Amino acid sequence: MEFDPKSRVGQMADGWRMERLLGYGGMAAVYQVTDGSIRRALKVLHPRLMQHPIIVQRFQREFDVLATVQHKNALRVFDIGQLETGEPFYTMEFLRGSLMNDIWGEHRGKIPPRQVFQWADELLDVLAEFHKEQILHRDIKPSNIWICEDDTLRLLDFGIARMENAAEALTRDGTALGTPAFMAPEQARGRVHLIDVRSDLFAVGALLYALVSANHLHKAPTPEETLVLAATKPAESVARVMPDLDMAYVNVIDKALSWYPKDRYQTAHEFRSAVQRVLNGFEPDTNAWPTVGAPSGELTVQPIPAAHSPEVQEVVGIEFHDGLGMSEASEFVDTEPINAHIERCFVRIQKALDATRLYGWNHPEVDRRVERAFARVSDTLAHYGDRFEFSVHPDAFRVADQVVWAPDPPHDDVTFNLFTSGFRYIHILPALTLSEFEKFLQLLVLSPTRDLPPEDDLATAFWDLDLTTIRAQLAMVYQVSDDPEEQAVFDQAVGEVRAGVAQSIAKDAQRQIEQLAMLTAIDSSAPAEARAEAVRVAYLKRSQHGALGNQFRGQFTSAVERDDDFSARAHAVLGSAWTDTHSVGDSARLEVTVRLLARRNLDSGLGEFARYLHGTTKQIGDRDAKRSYAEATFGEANAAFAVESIQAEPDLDPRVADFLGKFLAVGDASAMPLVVETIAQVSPVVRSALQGYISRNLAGFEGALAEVVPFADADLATYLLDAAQNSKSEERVQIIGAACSHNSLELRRRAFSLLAEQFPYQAGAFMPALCRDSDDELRIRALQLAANHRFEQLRDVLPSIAQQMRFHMLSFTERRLVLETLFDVDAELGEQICIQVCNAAITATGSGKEGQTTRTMALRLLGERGVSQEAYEAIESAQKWRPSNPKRVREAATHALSQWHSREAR
Amino acid sequence: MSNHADFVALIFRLLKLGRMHDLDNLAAQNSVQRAVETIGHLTATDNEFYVFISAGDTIYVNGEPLKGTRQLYDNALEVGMLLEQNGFNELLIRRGVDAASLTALARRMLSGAGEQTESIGERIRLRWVDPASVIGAGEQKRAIDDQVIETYASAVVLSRRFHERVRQQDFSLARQMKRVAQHIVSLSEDAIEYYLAVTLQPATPERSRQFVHAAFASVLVARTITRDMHAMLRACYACMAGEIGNSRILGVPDDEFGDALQMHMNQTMMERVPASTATMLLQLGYASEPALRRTVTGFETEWLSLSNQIGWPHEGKMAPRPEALIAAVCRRFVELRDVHDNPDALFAELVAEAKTPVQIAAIKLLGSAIGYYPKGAAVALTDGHQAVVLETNDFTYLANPKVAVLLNGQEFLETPITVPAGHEFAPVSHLIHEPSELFMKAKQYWRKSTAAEPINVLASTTTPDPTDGMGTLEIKLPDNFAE
Repeated sequence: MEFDPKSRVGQMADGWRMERLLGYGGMAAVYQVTDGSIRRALKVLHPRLMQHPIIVQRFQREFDVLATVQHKNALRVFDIGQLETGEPFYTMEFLRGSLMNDIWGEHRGKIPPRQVFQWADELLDVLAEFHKEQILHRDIKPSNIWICEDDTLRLLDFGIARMENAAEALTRDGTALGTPAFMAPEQARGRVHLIDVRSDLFAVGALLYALVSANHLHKAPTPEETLVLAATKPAESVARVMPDLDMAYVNVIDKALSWYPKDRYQTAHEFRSAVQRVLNGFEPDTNAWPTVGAPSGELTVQPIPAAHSPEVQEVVGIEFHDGLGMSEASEFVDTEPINAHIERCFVRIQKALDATRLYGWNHPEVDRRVERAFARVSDTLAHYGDRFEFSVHPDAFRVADQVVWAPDPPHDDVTFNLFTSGFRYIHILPALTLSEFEKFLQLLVLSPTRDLPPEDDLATAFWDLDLTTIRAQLAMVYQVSDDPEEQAVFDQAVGEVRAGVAQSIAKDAQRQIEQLAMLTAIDSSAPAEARAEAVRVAYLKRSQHGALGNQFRGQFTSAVERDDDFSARAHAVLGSAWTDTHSVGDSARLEVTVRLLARRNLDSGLGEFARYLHGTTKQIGDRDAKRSYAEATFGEANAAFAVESIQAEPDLDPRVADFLGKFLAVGDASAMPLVVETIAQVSPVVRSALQGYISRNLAGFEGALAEVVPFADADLATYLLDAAQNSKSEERVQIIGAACSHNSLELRRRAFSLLAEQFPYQAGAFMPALCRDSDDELRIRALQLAANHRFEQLRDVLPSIAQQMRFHMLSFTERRLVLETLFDVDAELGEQICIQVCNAAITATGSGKEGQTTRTMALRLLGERGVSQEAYEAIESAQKWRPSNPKRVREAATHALSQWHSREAR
Repeated sequence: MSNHADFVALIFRLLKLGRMHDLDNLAAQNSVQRAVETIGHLTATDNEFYVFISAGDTIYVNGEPLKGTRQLYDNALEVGMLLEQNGFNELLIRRGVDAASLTALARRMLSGAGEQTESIGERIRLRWVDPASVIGAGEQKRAIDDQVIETYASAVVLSRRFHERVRQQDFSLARQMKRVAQHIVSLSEDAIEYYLAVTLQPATPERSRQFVHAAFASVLVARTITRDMHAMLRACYACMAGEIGNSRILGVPDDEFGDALQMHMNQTMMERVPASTATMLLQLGYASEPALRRTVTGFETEWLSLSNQIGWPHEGKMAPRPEALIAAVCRRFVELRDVHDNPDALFAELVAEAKTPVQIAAIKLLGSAIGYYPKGAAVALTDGHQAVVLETNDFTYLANPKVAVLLNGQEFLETPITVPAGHEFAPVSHLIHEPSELFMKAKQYWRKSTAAEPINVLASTTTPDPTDGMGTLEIKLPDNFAE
C-alpha cells in the first residue's frame, strides 16, 4: 500500500514534533517541526526508498553538502537522524516564501529580466561557494530555488549533487541525472566525467532563459524527448523567442548556454560579474560573438577577419546602439572606385547575415544590422547612381575582375547557390527601399535544397519576390543536354533563329517605339531610357483606352488576381485527367502525382485531405476509375501515413471517417502494424473507419490482433471475431482463441463455439484459460472438448484446478471431467492427484459432503485405473474406519478395491 | 557527396598521384585500380560518361556547374589548372576505362601542351573547348533588346525540342521551359515594344514558333490588366506548352508527319485533348501549387482552343480563368496572323469564331493591347479632332489607321477629311467609347454622304462581365458525403 506522508503528522523525531506536512516529492517529504518555541523544517526520506542504498547515501550526502557551506543563500541544516521506523531525516531552517517555480507560474512564466538577473546574482554567489568546496549541484531549476519573503534566495535540493573529492562515485558514466529542460549537453549525454562547474552554469543560463522568456530551453512532449534534445540540439539564442529583450541580457544568457563548456562562463564568479555589469548598466564583458548553439564550426559566428577591412572598429565585439550608421555618409569618399564601396557594403551585408544566423530575422539586432548595411548601400547608390552592379561567380561577386565579396563561412555557399541557379549579374537601382533590400538579403541565405520546393531554384524565388529595384540577369543560355555535342547543336539552332529574326524584330520594335512616341510629346533626341519609359506610358494609356472599356478591364483584373478558385478547378482537371488515363490504360502516368498530392493534402490536415479526395472523385464518373484512383491514392507508400493521420485526428467527422475508410479499404497491408498497435486506443469513429481495412488485410496479422482481442472493448473484440470468422485464413484460430479470454461472456461463448466447431484439434492452446473461465457452462463445455481430444496443454492446468481450495464447490460433472481428463492426458499424474484427493491431502476435499463426493470420485478412478502401490494404499487407507473416512468414502473405497482386484484377476 | 563531386575528387587524386609519385610504384598502381573501380561504380547506372570542363573559374561536370564544398571546388580548379597547363580544359572519361588508360592520363598530365584534341585509349578524351561556349559561363552582360531576342530564339528552339521530346515521352526539358517562360514574363516590363513586335510578326506555320509568339502576346495582353507575374506566367506557359497532350492521343507520331497528324483528330480525340494535356503537364514536375495552377490554365486553354468542337470547359459550371482566355485568344490570333495580313479581317474572323461573351471580351483585350482600332469605331486624334475609323487593313499601321475626321473639338466638319493610314501629323490617341451627340450627328450626316458604313466588329457585340461564372467554388461536405 502506498505510504501516506500525512500519516506522520503528530509523530516525534528526536524530540521534534511533526506539526504539518509542508510538501513532498519523489524522494522525501518535508514537515514543519517544533521543539518548544523552535520551529524548523524536517526532511524525511520516503520509506519505500530505504531499500535503495544509493538513495539513502544520496540523502545523507545532501546533508553533508549543505552542512559544508555556510552562506546566506545556502539552506542551513542542523542535525541528522533516523525516525523510529528507520527512515533518515535531517532538520533545516524553516523558510517563509515561495518556490521560484510557483512565482514563475504566477507571472505566467515571464518575469522582468532585471528581477531575474538579481536572483541570478545571488544564485551565482552561493553557487560559487559550493563550487569552491568542489560541490556541483547538477539540478538547478526553478523548483529547486526558494524565494524568501525578504526576496532573498535559497538554493535547495542537493540530492544529486556531487562532491568532486567524493571517494565513491554515486553516478556512473552514461547516467543522466537532473532535469532535462535545464541540463547541459554533456550532462544530458550522461558524460559524467565531463560534468564540471560549467555544467551548473549552463543550468543557470537555462534557468535565466526560462524565467525571462517563459519558454523552456528545449520543449518536447516527454522528458525522454527533452533529454534527447538537450543532448543533441544546441540552444538557440534567447533573442529568437524574445526579440525585444535588451541585447545586454541576451548576450549573457546566450554565452552561458554555449554548446561547448569552453565557450561558457568558466566560473560562477565570472558569470556573476557579467550579471552584475548588466544590473549596473554596463555592457557585459564579452570579447567575442556569443557562440550559442554551435556543435560544429558551421553555426559558429566568427568575427570577420578585419586586418584589411576599413571597419575594424565594428568587427570585434558586440556593437551597442550607436545609431544606424547614418553618420557614415560623411565618411564617404567618392574618389575611390565603386568596387571599393560595394566591397564595404558587402562587409556590412555579411554582418547582417551573420546576425540572422544567430537571431533569425525577427530581431532588433538584425534589423539594426540590416539598416546599417542598407545605409551603406544607399550611400553608394546616392554617389554612383545606377552603377551598383556586380557579376555573380561561384565563389564571389565581382565588379569587373575585382572581387567585392567572397563570403566567409557559413555563408560561403551564397554566391555558389546564386550562380548555379542561373544568376549572372545583379543590378541594384537607386530607388532601392529598405523592404526590398531586406527581401534580397533573405533570398541570399535561402538554400535551394532546404528552403525551396524541388522544382524551384533561387531564380524562381527571386522571381517570386517581384522586386522592382533589384534586377537580375540570369544565364540566357539553356542547358538541354549533358552531352556537349547535343548542347552545341541546340546552341547553334538558337543562333540560327536569332540571326533569322533579330533584324526584323528590332525593326518592328523600332516602328512600335515611333508609333507610341507619337502619342507623347517626347523629344526624339531624349535619352534612350527616357524614350523607353515614355513608350511604356503611352502603351499603357493606349491599351487602357482601347477596345475594352475600363469597366470591363477592371473586372478582368479582379478576376485574374482572384486566385481562390483554383482548388475547385484543380479537382476538375485532375478528375478529368484520371478518367481519361484510366480509359486508355495509362493511368500509371499520374500515379506519382496523385500520391504526391494525396500526401501533401494529408499533411495539411485530414479535413483538407477529405476535401481533396472528395473534390477529385466527384469528377471521376466511372466506378472503376474511382476505384483505381483510390488505389493510387492509398498505394503501397501511402497506406501507413494515411492511417497514421487518421488516427491522429481526434475529432474526426464520422462522415469523413466513413469516406476515408472506404478509400483506405483498397490500400495494401503496409499500415496494418500501425493499425494493430493502436486500434484499441483510437476513438470509435476512427476505429469504424479502419475496420474495413482490417478485414481486408487480416491475413498475416492474426497473431498480433489476437494479442489485442482480450483487452479490447466488446465492440472491437466482436468486430475482430467477426472479421476472423469471415476470414479464410487458417491462422484466424488465434483470434478466435484469444476471444475466448475476453471479458464478455457472450463473446467467449461464441468464440468457443467457433473454436470447437472449426478448430477442435487446435483448441488445446486455449484450454488453460477456458478451463479456468468464470462461466460454469463454458468450463464444462471446454472440459468436454478437452476430454475428447486429450490436449497436452492440460497437463499443467488440471492439477492446479484439482488442488484449488474451491475444487469441491465445482459441479459434480466438472470435477469428474477434471479428474477423468487428467487421467486421460497423463495417467501417472492423474493417479497422483487422485491419491492426494483420496488422502484428503487436498484441503478442499477433506470435509463436507461435496468433499466426500470428490473423494469417492477419486477412489472410483483409482479403482478403475490406478496402478501404483501408492494408489492401492490410498484406497486401503480410505477403506479403514476413521473419523475422516465417512461411510460413503469407505464404501467407495471398498468398491474401488474390488475393482482393482478384478482388474488384477483379469 | 554527389556523383559529380565523387568524380572530381577522384580525378584530383589521380592527377596529383601522377605528380607526386612514381606511377609504377605498387601503391600508386593500387590507387589507380581503386580509381578504375570507382569510375566503374559511377558509370554503372545513370551516366555512361563523365565530362569535366573548366571554364575560367567555373567547373562543369556533365554540363552542370559543380556543386560541393569550397575544398572540392578548390581541388576542381586545380584539376582545371593542370588540364590547362597541358593545353586542355575538357576531360571525358567513359564507362569501362581501364587502369592502363588512367595511368596514361596521369602521365600525360606531366608532358605539357599537345594537340587540341587527344584520346587516351578508347575511353578517355582530352580537348580544348572555347570557354565561352560552355553553358552560361563567361556570358556577357546583355542589353535588354538583346535579352529579348535571345530569349525569343531560345524559346523557339526550346519549344521545338520540348515538343519533340514530349512526343518521345521525355519530359526532361520541363525546367528550362519554365525558366524561359519566366524570362519572357520578367523581360516584358522593360521591353513592351519588342513584345508588340513579336506579337505582330507572322510566326510561320511552325507550331513551336506560333506557341512562342502566342506566349509573348499573352504576356503583353495580361500585362495590361495585371501586375501579377504569376498570372502572366501561367498564360505564357499555357501557350509554350500548347498541344502537349496531342501526342499522347495520337500515339507517338512519325516525325515526318508531325503536326499534320493533328489534322486527323476526330471528335472523340478532340474531347480528350484537355484531359490529356493535364496528364502531360502533371508529368512535367513536382505537383506543387504553382504547377497545379499551370496545369489548370493549360487544361482550360486547350479546351477553349477547341471549344467550337467540344463545347465549353467544365460543362459551363465555371467560366475559364482569364489567363486561359487570354492564352487561347492569343494562340488563335497568332494562327490567324499567318493567314491574314489584314487586321480587320483577322479580328472579324476571331469574333466570328467566338461563341461566348467572355471570349469576345478577351478579343477586345487583345485588340487593346496591340493597339487595334476597329473599323467604324470613334477615335480621338492627338490634336483633338474626332474621327471614325474607316479601315485598319495593315499591321504596319495598326495604331494609325485610315480615318475620316468628323469633328474638330466642338466644331462640325461639313466635309469630313479622310486621313490615310500611317499618317504622322495627328495620329490616333485613343478610342472613344461613348461618342458625344454631336459626333453621332456628324457621323449620321457623313454616313448619308458615303456609300457604305464601316462596321465595328468589336463594338457590335455586347461586352459581358468577364468575371461571370468565375465565383469562388468552395468545396463543402454535402449531406450525402459518405455515399
